[in-house]
Amino acid sequence: MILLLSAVVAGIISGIYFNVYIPNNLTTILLMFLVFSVGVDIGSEEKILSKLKINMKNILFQSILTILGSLIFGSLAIFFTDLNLKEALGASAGFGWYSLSGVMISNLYSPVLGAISFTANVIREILAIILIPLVAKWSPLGAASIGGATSMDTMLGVIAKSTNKETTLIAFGQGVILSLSVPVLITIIF
Amino acid sequence: MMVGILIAFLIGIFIGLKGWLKWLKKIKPVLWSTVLLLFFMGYEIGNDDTLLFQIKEIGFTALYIAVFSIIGSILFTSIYEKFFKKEKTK
Repeated sequence: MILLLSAVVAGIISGIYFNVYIPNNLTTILLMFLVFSVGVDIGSEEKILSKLKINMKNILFQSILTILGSLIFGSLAIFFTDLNLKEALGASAGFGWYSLSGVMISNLYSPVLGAISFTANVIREILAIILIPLVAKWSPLGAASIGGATSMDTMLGVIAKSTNKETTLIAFGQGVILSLSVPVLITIIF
Repeated sequence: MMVGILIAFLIGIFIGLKGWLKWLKKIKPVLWSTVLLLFFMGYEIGNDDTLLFQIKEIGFTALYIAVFSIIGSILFTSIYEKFFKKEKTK
């Protein structure tokens, strides 16, 4: 995460001091390459597919509710900020996946909202590390939902530590479904 | 472009399922393409003077989005857990 944050900061600083022409195609090709690589990662985990089937119903409900909870409550930000509904929905639709959502939104919509989405999802990730162990005592699935799309990778260890095996598996499945839904939802919203 | 991204994603999953391109992981393409993209994202922010004035707002706006999203996620899933989830630990 430090590397990614430094990349943004380095970009901002060079943007202030230098004036280089960046072709639009370059970022589009990079984005496609990124999404392609993530697809290869998800597809190549063979055990995932068979494990997912066992707990499918809970995984599906968990995923849908996490998506709805994030989007509906996230859109409440329109009452406290300058964002309109579309922008608030879009920024909420990263589900913690700051790298992809920030980049996609800045490409599809605007760099400002991309930066907002990036920051919002970084904050979600940081808060998740703190909140998951606390919420897990009261609601394991609630804890798993905080991680959003990152419940399958970065937050999986934290979730596994704080909850039981069943919840960890559901968290993993939720992470997969939410990761799949981030590019789809952002594409639909913008 | 949007369609292109989704197609790239689906092709990626297909190739992953087929077990091709396993060597790809070693060079961490996700990480490096992300670093580059985030750098360009930052560059666009830095290169836009009107945008720089908004940077303080971005932090607060982002905080609202993050906190509300988390509250919603916890609320919805914990209600499901308490009232509807039937299968217990196997």
